[in-house]
Amino acid sequence: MSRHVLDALPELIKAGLLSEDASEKIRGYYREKDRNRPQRMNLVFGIIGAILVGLGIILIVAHNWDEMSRPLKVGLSFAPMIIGQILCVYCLLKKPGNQVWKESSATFLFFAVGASIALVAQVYNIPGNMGSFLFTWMLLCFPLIYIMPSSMASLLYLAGITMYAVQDGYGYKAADLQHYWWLLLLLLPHYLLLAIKKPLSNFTFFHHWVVPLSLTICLGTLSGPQEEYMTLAYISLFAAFYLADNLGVFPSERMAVNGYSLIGSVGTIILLIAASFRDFWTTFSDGLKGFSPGMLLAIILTFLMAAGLLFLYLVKNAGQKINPLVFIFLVFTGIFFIGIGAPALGAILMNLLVLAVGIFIIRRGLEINHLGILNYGLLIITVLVLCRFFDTDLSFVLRGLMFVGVGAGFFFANSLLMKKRKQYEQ
Amino acid sequence: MNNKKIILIAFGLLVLLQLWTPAAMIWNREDVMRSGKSFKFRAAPVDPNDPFRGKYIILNFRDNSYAQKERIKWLPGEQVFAQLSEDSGGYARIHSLHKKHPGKGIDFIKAKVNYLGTEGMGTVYIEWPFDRFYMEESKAGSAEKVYNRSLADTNNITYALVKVKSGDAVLENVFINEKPIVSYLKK
Repeated sequence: MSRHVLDALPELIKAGLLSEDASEKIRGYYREKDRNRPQRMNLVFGIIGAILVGLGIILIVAHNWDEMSRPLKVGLSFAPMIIGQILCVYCLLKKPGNQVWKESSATFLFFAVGASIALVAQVYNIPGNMGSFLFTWMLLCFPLIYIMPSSMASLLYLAGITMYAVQDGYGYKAADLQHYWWLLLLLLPHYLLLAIKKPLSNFTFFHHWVVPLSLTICLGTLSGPQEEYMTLAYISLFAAFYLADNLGVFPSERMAVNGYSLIGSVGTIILLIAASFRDFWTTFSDGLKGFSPGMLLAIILTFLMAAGLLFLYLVKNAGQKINPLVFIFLVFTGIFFIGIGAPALGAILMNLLVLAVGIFIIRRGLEINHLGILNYGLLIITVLVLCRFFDTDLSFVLRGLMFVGVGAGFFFANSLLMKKRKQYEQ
Repeated sequence: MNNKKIILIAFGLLVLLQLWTPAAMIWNREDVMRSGKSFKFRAAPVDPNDPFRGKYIILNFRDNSYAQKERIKWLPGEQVFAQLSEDSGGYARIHSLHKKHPGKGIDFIKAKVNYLGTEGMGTVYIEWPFDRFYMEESKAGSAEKVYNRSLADTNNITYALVKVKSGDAVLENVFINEKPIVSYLKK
């Protein structure tokens, strides 16, 4: 990009569009930007190198060398960890401000600790409980996030505790005690500091993706026997993600760097579509039997979180135009309680809600002249219609008319926007 | 004390913790192997590949269930203290199950309830904490074949030698007709 701009400068000056002074300022800006680039590349290569070497050591260790005696194997199991620790100490003493050193040595030590525990488990035939292995590994490495401090360690830790929660929290032998939540709290100070101090750093953007993803994956571990009740917790969680973005907590407008907005929005739509099926509502025949205390806590806490953020949003936007999508979780929760008692009514109301959301998004796309948003709204309605296609209790004629209607809607809405754009350009 | 010193002390503590954890695992297992009582667990027949810990063979045991004499409620995944005894052939079997530590001088293993059967007063199936025997990558495949062949041949007796001390168990070796499984691979 910078090359194109710099190449065009002489032409722009010649044409009298740009002063010499301004062009020099532009050159200076790109020179400064280029100066920061090598550091970033080094960081990327340093981390990738450390990950590869760390994973390589794990694989070599996994060969399980028979020729070695037990004491030798045990002694060697400490080697990668000690090398990693020496590298970290060297970094702390001699290269305290060097981000490349900090991140690479912490990444290496992170994997080396895993390799060491795995080797000991192998020598003594300790059985394969992946959950407890990950738990020990993550606890031994979490201080690196704060001591070094290392954001890569923080991302690896997040991935590790998420894997741990999936291993330990799902399935019929799921553990009652959910360690994941306090393990996640341990990370929070680092995440907050990162978001406040370096809001535009790549590490911050990665966190903005990995944190909501991890929460989405792990919230389900709190589910009781009747999993469908968890949709209440999930709709509030997605609403909280969406609201956090609408409150302007995240500095960038770009969707790609903000997981909260995308996960919140897409997650909400998926839940709405799922709840538009009649079958979803008929599973509640057991009443409140399938409830567990953890699930109740999850539903209440996520709801309070979403409600709190909604309150802040309303206060902040008092007197301005309010985005009605922020209320979806409240409407959903209301329909949910109606649907438990009257499944048919629940399904009908949910279909109307999806339709309303789709139409609103289309209207918004037209208003702000955005083809992406417009077609997102159309896509929602298309999916809704497709889903109803499989509901056999609707007549073929009605289903046929729905399809024709939506197809015509696509042509009409897109051509309307195109026309509007043309008028605007003229 | 300046910032750097605090960071270095914190890192020093972390280093100690990171070294201590595997060291404690090693110490505990060595202790069981040195002074634990040996039990032979007869094997029943299966090699997945664990990406973290290399190749191993999975062991299944014949004596992994206990028919309860009175109805006691267990949950899958719950911790269980399995008291051991030996049958006339000298192989380990479950004597009784306890919810709490059965006391000193009694041979037992801390295990987990795997699943439950409904026959009689209820049968409790145990997941022993030694179902993997790690082998060198190149040998695990053929070891598994030898192990499965040996189980298919009813004249063979395949068993795992396990050291037991204060509830901890360490799998020492796998034997086929009194010979370590590795000796069959060298032929």
